[in-house]
Amino acid sequence: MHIPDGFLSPGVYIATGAASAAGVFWMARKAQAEVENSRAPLLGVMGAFVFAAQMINFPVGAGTTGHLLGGALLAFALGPASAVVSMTAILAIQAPIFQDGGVLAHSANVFNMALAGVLAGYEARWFASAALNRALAGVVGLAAVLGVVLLFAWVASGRRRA
Amino acid sequence: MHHVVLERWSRGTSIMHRRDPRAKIMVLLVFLVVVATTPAALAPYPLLGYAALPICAILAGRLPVAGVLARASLVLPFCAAFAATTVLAGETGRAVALVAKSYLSAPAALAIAGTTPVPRFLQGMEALGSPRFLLWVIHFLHRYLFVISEQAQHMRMAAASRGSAAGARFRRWRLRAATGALAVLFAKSYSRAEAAYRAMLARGFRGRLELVEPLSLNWGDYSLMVLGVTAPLAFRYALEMLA
Repeated sequence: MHIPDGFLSPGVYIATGAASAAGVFWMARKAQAEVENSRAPLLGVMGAFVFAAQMINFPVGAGTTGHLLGGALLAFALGPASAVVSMTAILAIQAPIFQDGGVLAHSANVFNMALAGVLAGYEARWFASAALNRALAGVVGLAAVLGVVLLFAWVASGRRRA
Repeated sequence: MHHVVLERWSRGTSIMHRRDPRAKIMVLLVFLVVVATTPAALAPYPLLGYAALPICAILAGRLPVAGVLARASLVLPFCAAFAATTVLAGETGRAVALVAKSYLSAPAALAIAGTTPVPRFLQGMEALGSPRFLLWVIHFLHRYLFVISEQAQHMRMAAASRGSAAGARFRRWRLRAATGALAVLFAKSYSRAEAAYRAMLARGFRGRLELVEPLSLNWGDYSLMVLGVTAPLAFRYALEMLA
């Protein structure tokens, strides 16, 4: 579940808004330079895949199920800049159409899941793959994604003043 | 299905449907900012009075009020958990404010999403300065979202009818079925994207999307903007005066 409106204080909105806007503008420009316009359908369809893949839940244990966190997967398939654009697009569709996350809180959700989620997974795996074998590197990447996303979510909710 | 309803709503011809998307986006943002910055201490129950504005927009858009409010309540289970902990901490007013603020934003967003077709909305976002590349990606994502979701549903059903939903003893098998399905879905989506791009090239795509109807602001859009900006600000002012 994504952060809805009404949970964050104005300071958090402004800070994450500025960071997300700058990050996404920069990544969109970088992605466009890297892959040309021809890749827009690919990014969109892969975003749709990540969205659909969330429907396939798998058991984690103790009665809970997990779903795929698409950011890192997209980063490896498309490159980090394209993955950020694709994840931002997913969140932009989820907020107004599925009421999953608020419209104002979109900036915070983009910051957590598109920017931090993608880059944490991607960079951690890149560092780890030099030294460790690939399977271990994947696990390290996933752990880093979860850690960073949860950390940001925790920081954001800790600062909430309702 | 969920999106089909919203899509059908957005194709209407009411006074809200005919407004320029830029005006609607601006009004929505002003409303959300005014609601979000209203202090919780400022009488939590009158906060619900803000709901009058999205309801007016829904009525002007000739959308079913009950349907929109029911759809908006998707946000409630999540904030109910947080509200419950706030109540347990003894701050009932703050809990009400939390739920009201989260819930208010959803009908407002739906009033705009339900009266603006997605391509038109993206056209407005582009005119307001969003990166064009990102908007294209959103466009394609929206186009293929339900195609691929349906494929995922079919795979899930296929796996379930072959026993993937069996008890905890078979957890390893379920995990295996899920990972296999994901991998196949990934490959299928990738090849679908390539096919879509080839089809676009075959139909004369030359690197930009052409939109048929240009945007233009008329007196109706200006009145919506004036009304949409002054109404929430006036309500907020009244709340502060009463407090």
